[in-house]
Amino acid sequence: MSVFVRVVTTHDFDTVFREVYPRLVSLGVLKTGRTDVARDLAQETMLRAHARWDELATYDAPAAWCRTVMTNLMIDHHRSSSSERRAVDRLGARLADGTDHDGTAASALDRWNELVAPLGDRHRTIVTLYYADDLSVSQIAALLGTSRGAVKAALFKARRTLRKQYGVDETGGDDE
Amino acid sequence: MSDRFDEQMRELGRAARAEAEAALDVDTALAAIHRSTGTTSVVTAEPPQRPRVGWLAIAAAVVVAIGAGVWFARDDGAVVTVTPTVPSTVTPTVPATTPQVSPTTAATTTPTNVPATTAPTTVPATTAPSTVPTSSPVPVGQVVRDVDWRDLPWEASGIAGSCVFGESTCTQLVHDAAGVPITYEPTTRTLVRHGVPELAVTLPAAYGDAGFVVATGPDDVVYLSVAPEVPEEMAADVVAVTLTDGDAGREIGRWAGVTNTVGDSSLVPTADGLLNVGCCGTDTIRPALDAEVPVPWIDRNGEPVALESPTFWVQIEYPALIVHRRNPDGSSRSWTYEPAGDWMPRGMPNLTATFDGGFVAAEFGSDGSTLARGYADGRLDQVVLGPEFVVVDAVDPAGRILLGDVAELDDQFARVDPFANGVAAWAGEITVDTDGTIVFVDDPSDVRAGSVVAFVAAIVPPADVNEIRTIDAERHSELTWTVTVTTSNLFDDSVAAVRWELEVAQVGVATFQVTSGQASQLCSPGRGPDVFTTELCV
Repeated sequence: MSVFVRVVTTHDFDTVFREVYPRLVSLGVLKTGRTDVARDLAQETMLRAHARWDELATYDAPAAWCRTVMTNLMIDHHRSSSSERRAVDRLGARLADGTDHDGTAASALDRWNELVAPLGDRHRTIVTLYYADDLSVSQIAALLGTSRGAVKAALFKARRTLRKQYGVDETGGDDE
Repeated sequence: MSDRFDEQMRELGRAARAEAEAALDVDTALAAIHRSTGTTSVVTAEPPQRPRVGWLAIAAAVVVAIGAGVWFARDDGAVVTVTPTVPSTVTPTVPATTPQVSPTTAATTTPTNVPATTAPTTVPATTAPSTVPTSSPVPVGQVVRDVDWRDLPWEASGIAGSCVFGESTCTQLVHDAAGVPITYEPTTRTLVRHGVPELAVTLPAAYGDAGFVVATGPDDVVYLSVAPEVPEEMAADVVAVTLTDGDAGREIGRWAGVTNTVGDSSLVPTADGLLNVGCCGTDTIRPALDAEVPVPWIDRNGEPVALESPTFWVQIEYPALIVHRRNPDGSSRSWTYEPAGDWMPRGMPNLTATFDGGFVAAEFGSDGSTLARGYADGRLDQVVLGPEFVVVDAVDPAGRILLGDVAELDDQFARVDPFANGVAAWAGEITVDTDGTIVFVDDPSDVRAGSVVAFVAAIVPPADVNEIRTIDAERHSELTWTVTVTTSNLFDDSVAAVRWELEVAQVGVATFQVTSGQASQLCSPGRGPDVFTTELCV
């Protein structure tokens, strides 16, 4: 008689932290436009992870759990604070030719934030996950607990806005 | 398939991400985690090592398994076959159990039950409450329901709101103590009181385009966070403006730099005024009952005034939360529960007092919006609102949820009733005369409802099981409607449907009156008239 035995893989917190924390911060910076807020939210995410690490350590992908919490914290933060909006508004005032008001070259981060500034909160989240975090439509749908169709629709609308920002015609291209 | 635009966006996104990650000090951040949780970081110079005992267990299990000719799964989850090379007569020396490899942090980290917090802030320190309500907490332990908000009773609220030009211009929605919706458009600085009559005012341009309503206070005064008169990056001013007919938009008070705009703290209503609660401290009593009140309540003349609405304070006994509701008459009620999801105490929970003596808490967690509904009799219900990526914008005092920016409605808020408590069922008496005249023996005008449909739904007898109920409202003027209630699929086989036509007038901001009513019925085929009449079916 054969017996199926599964070796349970566990993760240690510090290793996962080193892998996940930078990604969470960059996700937050690209989404909120603020490094301090992103670090604060990433830190809080990892604190939550630490508090329940006994359980998370046995997950196949604790990083996915962390990303979900981070995403929701960003939404929560957006609701509770006007600071992000102010920051985004400031970024939106940067010049579209890739330079700052003082004429210095804007960084990729600045240009990114300038582009996504006109997007709504939901669209900005999805665009960040799709373009900057390289998640597929299906992965985003799973992360946000919504349908693939909803994500594709949001991407479609967001791309329309982004194309205007970029100054290109709206043509072709699937979302996945 | 992606086009060139997608590729450009991806390149930019990756470059921006790399910039964001470049200057990170991960070690310091990790050390902060361990410092705040009282744990120790594992040595990271070497690759993570499995504890020796884990390998011994695995080795022992391998011996046993090989002897039994078992299957093993690799760490990556792939199944591999292990060919027995040892005689099956080998006697196992350890129990043949599934080997469990402990995390390497298990021996050195000890997560505590203390709420995880970030660095202390500069908000006022909290102290023990000076007065403690006498009511007893209710037991912890409730069933949490997961529901899709679109499967719940919901309606278009009629309250205009949109995010057409991006989230920064989304309509903000709050309610005053009477339940009247108040919206604020930050970019146009338009403050609207959606009462009867509706009242709208444009606030001064100096208020900026990032303002928001902090609270509604007594005497129709609204408190907003606005751009500071003295430029300040991290703070904003609070202004008190009137919102009454003929005197709307007048600034009657200003408190400089009292709101924090980076999320470190937020102003919370108390009996004396608005005071700050920090986002990330270790305070277990929020708000601090003896903290300084930076923004006192004032009336339209600028004089101090008492708040005649319920207020809240909470105790955090993680993972439990104790919500205390204090009523203006001095009475109080407490609820103890464990918030659903991965709740962690951050700032002051978003609490709304309900007309029925309870509360609604709305928080956003990893599972969606988590709602807790406390009732005056001590019961507590929790709902995780999903699966849509939906955020609760406001809760009205009837306990209903207002959602903005939902695909189903482009230009107004959706009103959802996750607790099926939109308007309490009216227990008054109604009679129907033989000529079909509907007589309200008891006056239903004390029923509070956010819409004429909600009002009628509350006062008509509830539909029976299997019955189908439709309510149609035809508006004749700003304040009058004909509301038709049709009930079909009746158990009575002679009657196909019953119809009530009610003439309804709005008499207050959330109150209505039935001016007349007429009942009729439609008979089943062959059982009487095939149109709605007052004739009996046979």
